[in-house]
Amino acid sequence: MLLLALAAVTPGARAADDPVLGLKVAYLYNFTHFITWPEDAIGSHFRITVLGDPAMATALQALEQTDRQVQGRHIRISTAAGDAVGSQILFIGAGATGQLPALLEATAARPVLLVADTPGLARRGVAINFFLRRDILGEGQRLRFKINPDNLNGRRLSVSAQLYDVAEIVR
Amino acid sequence: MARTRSIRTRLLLALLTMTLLTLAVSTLLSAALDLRLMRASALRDLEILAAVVGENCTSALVFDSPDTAARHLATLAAERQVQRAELLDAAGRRFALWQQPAGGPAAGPAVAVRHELHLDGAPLGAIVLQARLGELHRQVLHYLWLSALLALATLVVALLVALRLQRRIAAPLSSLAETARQVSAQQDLSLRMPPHGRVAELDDLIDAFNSMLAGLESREGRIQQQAAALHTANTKLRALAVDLSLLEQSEKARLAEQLHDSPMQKLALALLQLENGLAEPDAEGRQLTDSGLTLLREAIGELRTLQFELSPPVLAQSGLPAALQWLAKRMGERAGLPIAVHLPAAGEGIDLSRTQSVTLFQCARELVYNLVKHAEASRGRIELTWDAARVALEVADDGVGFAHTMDTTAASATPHPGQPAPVSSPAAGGFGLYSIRERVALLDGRLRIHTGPHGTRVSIHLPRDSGAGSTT
Ligand SMILES: Nc1ncnc2c1ncn2[C@@H]1O[C@H](COP(=O)(O)OP(=O)(O)O)[C@@H](O)[C@H]1O
Ligand SMILES: [Mg+2]
Repeated sequence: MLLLALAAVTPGARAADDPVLGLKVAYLYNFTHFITWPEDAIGSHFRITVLGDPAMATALQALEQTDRQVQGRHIRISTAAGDAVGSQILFIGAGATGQLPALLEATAARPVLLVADTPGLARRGVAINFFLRRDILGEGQRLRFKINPDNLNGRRLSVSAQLYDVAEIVR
Repeated sequence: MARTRSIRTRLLLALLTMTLLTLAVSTLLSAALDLRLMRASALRDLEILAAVVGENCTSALVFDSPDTAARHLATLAAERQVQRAELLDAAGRRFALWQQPAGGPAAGPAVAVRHELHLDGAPLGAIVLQARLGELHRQVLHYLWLSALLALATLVVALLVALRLQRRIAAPLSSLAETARQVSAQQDLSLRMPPHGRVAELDDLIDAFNSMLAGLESREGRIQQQAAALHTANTKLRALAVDLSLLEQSEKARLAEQLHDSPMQKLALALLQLENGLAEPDAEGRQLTDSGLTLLREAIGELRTLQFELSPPVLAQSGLPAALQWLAKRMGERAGLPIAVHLPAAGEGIDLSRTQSVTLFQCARELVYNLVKHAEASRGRIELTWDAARVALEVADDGVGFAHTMDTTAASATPHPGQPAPVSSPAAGGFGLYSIRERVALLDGRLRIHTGPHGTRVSIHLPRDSGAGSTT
C-alpha cells in the first residue's frame, strides 16, 4: 500500500517490477529530506554514485528526468568508481562490497553518505544499511534500515533525529 | 392595579433590578466572549499540537514505520483533553491510531482538528485529533459561581444604597407630611418647613408647600379684615336705625310742641269764647263770638303753615325752584333777614325725580333752619344749579361759622372734644346735618361744608339719574 504511494515518487518501469527495488530508490531519495550536506561540498549537481547494482542505478536514473532537487541542485546519477569521492551519496551494491575498504579510505572524512544493502556492512563502515524484516503479521516483508552513527562522524553531515526514529541503530 | 409601596421598597426593587440586570447581561456577554476566545485558543492549541505531532510522524510515514508513528501519537497521553489521534496516509487510509485510555475527562464539547502533512510539496498524509474541551465546562461553572457571589454582594450594596436614599428622600417627605398635620391640628398657618438642601425636587416641593401656607395665611388675614369691616358696617347700620328712629321721635316731638304751643291753645280758646258768646245773645256775646272766630281763622292759618312746612303743596304743584323761593320768603320774613334765591335763567326746566325734589327740599329747609338758628348772619342765600349730569343745591350765610357756635355748644352742653366733626354723629349736636348726610348718601350724592369766621357754605350734589323712583 505505502508502496504504491512511493512508486509515484520513483517513476520507472523497473521499479514497478521489483517492489523492494522501488522502495530502496524512494528511501534513498527521501534520505535527502532528513540529511543536510554542507553547501561547499555540493557542486553544480547533487551526485549519487551507484556501484555494483546496475538495476538500482537504472531505477535511480529516472530521478534525473524529474524536476526533483536536493538543496537546490538537480540530481545526477553516476556508476563510475572515480566519481565516488566527489558524490554526496555513494550506494555500494552487492557487487561492489569488495571495494569497500578502498572506498572507505577514499571517502574518509568527506561529506559522503555511504549506503549499502548487504548485511553486516553497517558494522564495517557504511552509515545506512538496508535490510528486510518480516512483517509482524507475518505477511510479506518490510524494508528497514540500520544506521551506525559512528560511521557518520567526521563527515559534516547533519542527520535529523526523525531519521534515527525510524531506523535501527547499530554501533 | 398599582400597589402602594414605600419609597424604600421601590428604590430597593429598582436598584436590584437594575444591578442584577446589568450584572446578568455583562456576565453573559463576557462569558460568551470568554468562552468563544477560550474555545478559539483551545482549538489553536489543538492545531499546534496536531502540527507538531504530525511533523514528528513525517519520517514514520515516509519510511513506512507505523510503530514509530504510534510511539509519537502516544506522546499525546500527556494532553488530557485529547481523546483520540489518527494518522492517515496520502490515500486517506489509517496508518496509526491512538486513543486516550479510559478515565480521561469526558466532559466538555467535542471538537476535532485535522492537520495535513506534506513532504517536498506533495501530500504525505494527515493527522486528526479529537478532543473534549472540558476546561470550558469548568470555566462556565466558574462563571456561574462568580455571578452568584456578585449578585449577593450587589444585593447587600443595593440594600445599603436604598436605605441611604430612603433617608434622603422619604424622611423629608415624612416630615413634610408631619408639618401638614401640625398645620391642620394647631390651625397655625405660620408654620414653615426648612429647605432640604440636597434634592432639588424636594426643595421645590417644600418651597411650594411653604408658599401655599403663605398664600393661605394672607388669605385668612384678608378674610378676617373683611369680617371686621362687615362687623363695623353692621354696627353702623344698627346705630343708623336707632338714630333714624330717634330723629323721627324728635321731629314728632317738635310737631307736637308746635301744635300745642299755638294752634291747639288758639283752638281751645276759640272754643271757649264761641261757647260763651253763643250762650249770651247780646252785644258782649257777639264780641266773644267774633273774637272766637278770629282765633279759629288764626289757628287755621297756623295749621296751614305747619302743613306747608311739613310738605309744602307748592313743591308738588310748581316744582323745586318755586318751593325754594317760598321757603326763602317765609323763613326770611319770620327771621327778619333777607334770603336771596338764585336760579338758572327762566325757561330751563328741570326734570327731577320726586325723591330727589323732596330730599333736596328737606335738606334746604334744614339748612335754612340752621342758618336762622345758629349763624347769626345778616343775610342768606339759596342757589340751585344743574346740568345734564347733576343737580347742586347750595345754602350760604355770612354768619359766625361752625367753630364759634360749636365752641359755645361744647362749653355749655356736652363735653365733646372732637373739633371738626359736626356731622359724623348726631351726638355732636342735633340730627339735622347728620340726617342730611345720610339722605344724600342714600341717593349717591355728596355733602360739603365750608365754614369759617366769615360765614358758612353748605353744598349738596346729586347725580341726575340717581334715585330711580317716581318722577314729578
Ligand atoms: N349755618 C351755620 N352757622 C353756624 N353754625 C352752624 C350752622 N349750621 C349748623 N351749625 C352748627 O352745627 C351744629 C349742628 O347742626 P344740626 O346738625 O343741624 O343740629 P341742631 O341744628 O339741632 O343744633 C349746630 O348746633 C351749630 O353749632
Ligand atoms: Mg339744625
